Amino acid sequence: MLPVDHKITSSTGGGQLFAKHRGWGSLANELRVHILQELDVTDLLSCSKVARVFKTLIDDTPSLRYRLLLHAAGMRDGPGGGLSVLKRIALLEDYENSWKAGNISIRQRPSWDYYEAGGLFMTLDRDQCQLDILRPASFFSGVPETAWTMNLSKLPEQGHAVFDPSSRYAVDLAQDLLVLMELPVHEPEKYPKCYVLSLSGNGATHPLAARGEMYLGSCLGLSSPKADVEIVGDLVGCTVLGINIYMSVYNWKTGTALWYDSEWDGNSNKMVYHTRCHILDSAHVLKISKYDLTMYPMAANFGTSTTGELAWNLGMPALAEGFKATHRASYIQRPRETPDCSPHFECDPSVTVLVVEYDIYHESRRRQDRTMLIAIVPISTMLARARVPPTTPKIPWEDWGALGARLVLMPSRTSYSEHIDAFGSRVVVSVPHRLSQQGVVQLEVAVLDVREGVVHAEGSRSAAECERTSTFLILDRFTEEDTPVFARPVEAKMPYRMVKTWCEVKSRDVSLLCDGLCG
Amino acid sequence: MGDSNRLTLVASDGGKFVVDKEVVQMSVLLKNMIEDLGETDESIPIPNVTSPVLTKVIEFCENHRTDAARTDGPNVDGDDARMRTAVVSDWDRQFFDVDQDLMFEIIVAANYLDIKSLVDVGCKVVADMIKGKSPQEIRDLFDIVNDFSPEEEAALRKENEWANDR
Repeated sequence: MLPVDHKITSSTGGGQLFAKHRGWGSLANELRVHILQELDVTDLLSCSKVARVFKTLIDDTPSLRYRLLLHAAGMRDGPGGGLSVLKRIALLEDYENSWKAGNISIRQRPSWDYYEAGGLFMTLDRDQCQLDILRPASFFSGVPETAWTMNLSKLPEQGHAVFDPSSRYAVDLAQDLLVLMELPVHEPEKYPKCYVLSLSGNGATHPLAARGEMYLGSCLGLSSPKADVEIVGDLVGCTVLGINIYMSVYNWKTGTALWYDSEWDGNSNKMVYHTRCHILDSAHVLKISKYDLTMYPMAANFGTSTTGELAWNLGMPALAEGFKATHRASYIQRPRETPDCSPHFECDPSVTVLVVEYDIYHESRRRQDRTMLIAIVPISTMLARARVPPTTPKIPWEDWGALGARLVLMPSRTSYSEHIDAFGSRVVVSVPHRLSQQGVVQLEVAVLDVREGVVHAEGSRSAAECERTSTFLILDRFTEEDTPVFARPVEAKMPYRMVKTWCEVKSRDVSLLCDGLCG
Repeated sequence: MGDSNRLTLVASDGGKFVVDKEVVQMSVLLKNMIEDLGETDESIPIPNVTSPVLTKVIEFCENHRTDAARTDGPNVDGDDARMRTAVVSDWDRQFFDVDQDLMFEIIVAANYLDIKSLVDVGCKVVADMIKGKSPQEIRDLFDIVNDFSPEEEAALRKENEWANDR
């Protein structure tokens, strides 16, 4: 019925003939671009692989190309006005090329007593009662270097106790928030405390805080406690390792407790060390303990909740007979907003990963002969489980992690000098090798980026294919021959990309910033 | 003839369509043409559009005549976020439930006649067909030949990589 051979000219094309083309081929480029603009970035990526005409069209249309580049870099568009899409594309390409070439920018810490968290350098000056924060400039995204000094002399009453070396703190510039944890190491009968402070108010209680201080669970009973504090939006998560382990999540604006848990190994009468909690989102908290991950729902109104009974038990890969695993540390670092400036683009917090470090050893062998297992799990992989109701039986690794996580194994670990840091979807592992002149340390560094939309250069690899000169084994498939630690072959298929390089810094490790490393 | 509120469109194959002026004016091209012609009994030839396509275009315009004022608003091209969030209505989806050649011909005709709302809906429908499909599935869908050489395909895979181990 339809005449196949009719001719149609485009309104702007001035007699352009599509007589030989039907379907997609009959569309003018402006219509094709219109269609492609309706797609999200993963579909756009598929389109760019269909045929040359698709790829050329996407590459030649700045708005489409920019979206693909942002996706490849794990970035999202920033609020920064004034810079054209073409200029942003050029900056993103420079940024990606610096990683592709292993030519990653490295910044030195201002001095040894600064610690790095979330792309900020911070140091608490105990003599001056002040907190110094330095945000290094980002070469690519247009964030300038900025320094802040907070006078904390207004801290309530026993203000100086918080300047004890064991105190912990977390900062959120966007919320003008400093959460400072005081650990009363010299007065073991006292409870640890969290102060909710305003950065701009010289350490006065934050105007939005329900209470100036929050008390944490139990007394320390130890002279060398460990503690950690994190801020995620309205929530503050605390882990205190004293005579037992106390983990809690508070809403700092309402003052209500949303979740808590404590641990004590009754059987061996021993502490279960290295347990800790991480806030995943406003409704879910993760407890990392022994060789399992447990995700709990958080109730808005604590007390009516069934927290502790309902949970998702996310199992790790089963270990072979005789092997044991110990949880050593865990890391999450969400990229923070930069409200005081307008970056052209910024790290996308939705692709943030959790990194958990385990020691695996065989009972019969000497303790030094250990394997380091690093599990890199996107937060989205865990939250995907939260769409189904909590289950008490353990969810096996094959059912949740095999496709949504990435494992890294470092065999024959002896030195414990390896250092791990995370930022967004990236993880850096650094190993110091030797000291050269003037106190400069040579480090072997591997940075992995673990998320959808990236690919590894090598495809699937076994240990035999890895270079023996390297300390790192990055395996796609863990077979018995390569890694006897697992009971059966283990899959870990989350896409990732990696760059390995050497660098020289004055410290013994490196951390990740939003667009490079710091030493 | 003689009804000043109606006029006749003639498709490329000679098919004649008597339509309300109000409906025709959703096409910016025809609206301008009518203004240029003034009061006339002459029929307007649409040389690039066949009868089956013109039937569909008129059907769409008659259904959407009431919301013409709304969709005729300021040009929002480039407003990516707005364009990607708007959803296609059930009627529009049914309207485009035709064979693929006709679907593309409607979009091309709408673009020629400059009927923005029909172009928008048509592009959204095509985008929905692409969503969630692999490159090969998209090729099968639109009958497109993969003209990448093996070397180009390898380069495409590499584009999103970082350095190899050293």
